[in-house]
Amino acid sequence: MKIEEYLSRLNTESNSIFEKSMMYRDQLGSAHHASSCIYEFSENIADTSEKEILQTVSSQLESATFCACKGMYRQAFVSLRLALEMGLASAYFSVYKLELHEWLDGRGDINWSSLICENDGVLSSRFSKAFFEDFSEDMSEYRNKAKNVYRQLSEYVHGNNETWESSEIELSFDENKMATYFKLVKGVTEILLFVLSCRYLKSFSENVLDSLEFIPEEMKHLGYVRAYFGGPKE
Amino acid sequence: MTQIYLRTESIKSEDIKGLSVVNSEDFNIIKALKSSEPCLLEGSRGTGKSFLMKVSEIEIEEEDPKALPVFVAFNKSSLINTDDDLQFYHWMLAKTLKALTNKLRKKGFSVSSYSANLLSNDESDSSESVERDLKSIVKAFEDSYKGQSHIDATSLPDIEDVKEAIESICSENDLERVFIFFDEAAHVFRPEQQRQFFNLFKDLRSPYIICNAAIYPGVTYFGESFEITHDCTYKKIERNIRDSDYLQYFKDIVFKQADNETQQAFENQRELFNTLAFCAGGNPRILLKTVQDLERVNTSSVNSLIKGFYRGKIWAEHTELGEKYKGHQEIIDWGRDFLEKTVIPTIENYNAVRKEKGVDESSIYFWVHKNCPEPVKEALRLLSYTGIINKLDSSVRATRSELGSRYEVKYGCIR
Repeated sequence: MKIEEYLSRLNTESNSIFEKSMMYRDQLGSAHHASSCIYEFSENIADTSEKEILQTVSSQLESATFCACKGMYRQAFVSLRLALEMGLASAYFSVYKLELHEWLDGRGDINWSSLICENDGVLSSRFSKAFFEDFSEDMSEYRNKAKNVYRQLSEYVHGNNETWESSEIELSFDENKMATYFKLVKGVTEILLFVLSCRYLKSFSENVLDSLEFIPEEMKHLGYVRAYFGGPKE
Repeated sequence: MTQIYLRTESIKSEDIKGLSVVNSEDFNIIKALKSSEPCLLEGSRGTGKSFLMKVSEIEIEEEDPKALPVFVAFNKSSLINTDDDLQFYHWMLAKTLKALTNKLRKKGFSVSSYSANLLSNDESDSSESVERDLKSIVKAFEDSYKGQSHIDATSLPDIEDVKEAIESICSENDLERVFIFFDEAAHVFRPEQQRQFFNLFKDLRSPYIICNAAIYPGVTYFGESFEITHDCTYKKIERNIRDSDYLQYFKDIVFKQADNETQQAFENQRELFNTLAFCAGGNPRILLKTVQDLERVNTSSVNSLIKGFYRGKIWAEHTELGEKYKGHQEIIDWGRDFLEKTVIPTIENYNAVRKEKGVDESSIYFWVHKNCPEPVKEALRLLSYTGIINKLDSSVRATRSELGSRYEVKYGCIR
């Protein structure tokens, strides 16, 4: 078998997985909507670097969904983890400018433990107190959520043994992995919108807030977000 | 005590069905909200309007692949400040269409233009057209009320353009109907704006669009062109404390959220739970709030809570309405005085006399003459909105054969 034929067969198999994945319209729509929300949010951020990082996050989310649809689940989880890291990093860099510039120059890395540090990270009370104090009451819950989602995604990135099922080495449609993907993409986008809202909402003008209908829609279960957009209080 | 949700908005969509308790009345309301007739759902604050609308939305999504339900909330902070009726009408339309655009995207019927650019450079992709058409209509409306310069209203898309756009969305996506749920829509508007809202509600009617809205008793102005009997199905949330399933229904609601310890304590002392349930007068939010605030499940805690809540908090909330309805402060205060100083003492006195006579019955009702002054009616409407009283029926003959309306005072407010 020539290389062309071999890859072509893989492509055919992947396309048949893609057909099956298209049955999940609702979940695919939700994943796309979430990444669009992050993109639209980014358009209102003044700092170009922060905005560009978030736009990369958005495209990572799109790539992740596409990989999942093609049956490349591990690649999907890798992209999803990258989206989570970069999304939190954009908020982190917005307050630690020196680290932003070191990262832009290639002299620094995104450090997960710094991002979610209980004292100085983007899911700390210090962070919420600085930008939107009401978020403090949910910070620890979302920090735990972030750790939990990150741990699950890392199992695929690091190749923990249990993630290598027998089917892993061949391309095949996997209903369970699709379900896991949709659960994790929901978790990632919920955490990102939480952190971004905490960081930026109070800096946005009324007109900008008015254009962000998806924030009160996606986060109305948080009473203070709802009230900030003029919705009913608890 | 585990966290108790007091508002539907605080519950994530995926948790709604798990907390839902539906009796035959609720079932009929949900059926009306899912039907092809527009429906107005009336209920005081906290009676469960939003919850039933949310359940209906979820059921439509689960049961009917050819229907698209859209939830619209007009938040007060973004409310346009204008006296121009047309601008206000366009503002509501823009908000509604934006909610539709987001829902189409969320359900996979359209993709965002940025992502089409991310994954390919083909901007002529026809799948974008749905979102683009709606977006251009929304933008035209937004420019008309946001811009400084005057825009000729005749150049704007009209309601027929909007309906046509929605119709093509339906035919392109094999959808038969779009349900629009306006949640507590009229609540935040002034009377003139409420009239405009009902004009929009009526104007949007088409074979492809079904509007439903939650409204409050008493404080809703429909305008001249909107006729309740012809333009919608009208449903009221009524949970009468005399219904045979009343206590079980409210027990189910509370037990869906209460922790095991609280459930067990109420099981052991059903009469305490029943007292709280009767006091709430058919209002789930008030019952859940009192259960949440209850320090211990024992007689003294229940008594002190009832005293504090129904003689303090509930009235403070009513008085605060004066802030929301500027210019109504005097009438709101008068209504409170009327209830606290006249109606409630009279009912209590009546009950005491009957008790002395050995009659094992008590009343929570009062009657007001149909020709009473308008400000009195207004005060009673505002008390209905808060849920302290509930208008049971009108044109009822009282003892002197005079006609008037009969009201019920929330049970907890009577000593």
